[in-house]
Amino acid sequence: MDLNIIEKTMRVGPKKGQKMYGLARVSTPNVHSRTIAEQVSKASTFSEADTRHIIKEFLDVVTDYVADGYVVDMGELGTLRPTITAKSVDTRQECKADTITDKGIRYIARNEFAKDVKGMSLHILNPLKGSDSEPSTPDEGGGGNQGGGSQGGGDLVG
Amino acid sequence: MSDKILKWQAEQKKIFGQEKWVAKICYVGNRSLQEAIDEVATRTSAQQSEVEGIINAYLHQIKSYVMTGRSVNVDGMGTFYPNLSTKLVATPEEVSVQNCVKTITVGFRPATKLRQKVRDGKLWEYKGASNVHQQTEE
Repeated sequence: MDLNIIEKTMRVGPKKGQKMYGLARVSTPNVHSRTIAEQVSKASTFSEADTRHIIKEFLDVVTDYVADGYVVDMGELGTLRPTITAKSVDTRQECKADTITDKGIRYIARNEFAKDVKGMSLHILNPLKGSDSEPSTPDEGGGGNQGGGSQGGGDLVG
Repeated sequence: MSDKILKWQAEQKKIFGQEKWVAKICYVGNRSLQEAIDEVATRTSAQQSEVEGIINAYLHQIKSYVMTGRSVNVDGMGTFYPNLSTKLVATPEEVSVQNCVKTITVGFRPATKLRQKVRDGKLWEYKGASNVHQQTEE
């Protein structure tokens, strides 16, 4: 995975106003499931339309299972399940449906997938040492890096 | 109107040292990938083994793209992406993968369609387990 060096001015806390540096994922366009369907179709005897139909049916089945309250296994990817968020109350009688404030979806990656992702190789595109390139900032759009067009798309936990 | 139902039950738990009651989801059960594949096979003219091959290849491709640092947008389900958790350092010279990257996980952002499907479902209180709990308390 390609990373860019970013510069960030702290807005709160003891380091307020101070410039800090970190890494962010180089932003690349999302891969659409249609592209993957095309690739799968080419490797099979099925037409692209048939492959897309099978995949669409699969996604409908899986999302229906989740909405029905099942924990759904997605093979190599992991599991999907519905969740609820609720307020806590003091007594059993107060614990009613209206204490449920939201419904959501939780994804848990399969162990092997999580391990593989954790071990993936990371490349800094604009390293400072041994390079003439300046560290890029999200605002500068990654000037001087080889990847080009970086907007510092990663999550920063500072 | 959606015919989807999510079951929940009241559960007693300690929150900051105080006994509280909170609604907790009751899962209907587990659905394996094979069950989903079997159901897809009944909906299409393809053989079960052919459906299995296509779905496994599809899931494998999603994983492969995420492993190369790409986000994958799955229609109607959501986006799978590598989620980088980093920390900041004081000088640009200190920036390195070892110093700045805390961990990488697989993230998932559910699609609006899936979120809506789950939100549109009705809620139904499952009283069985909580009644037993109350009885034991009494």
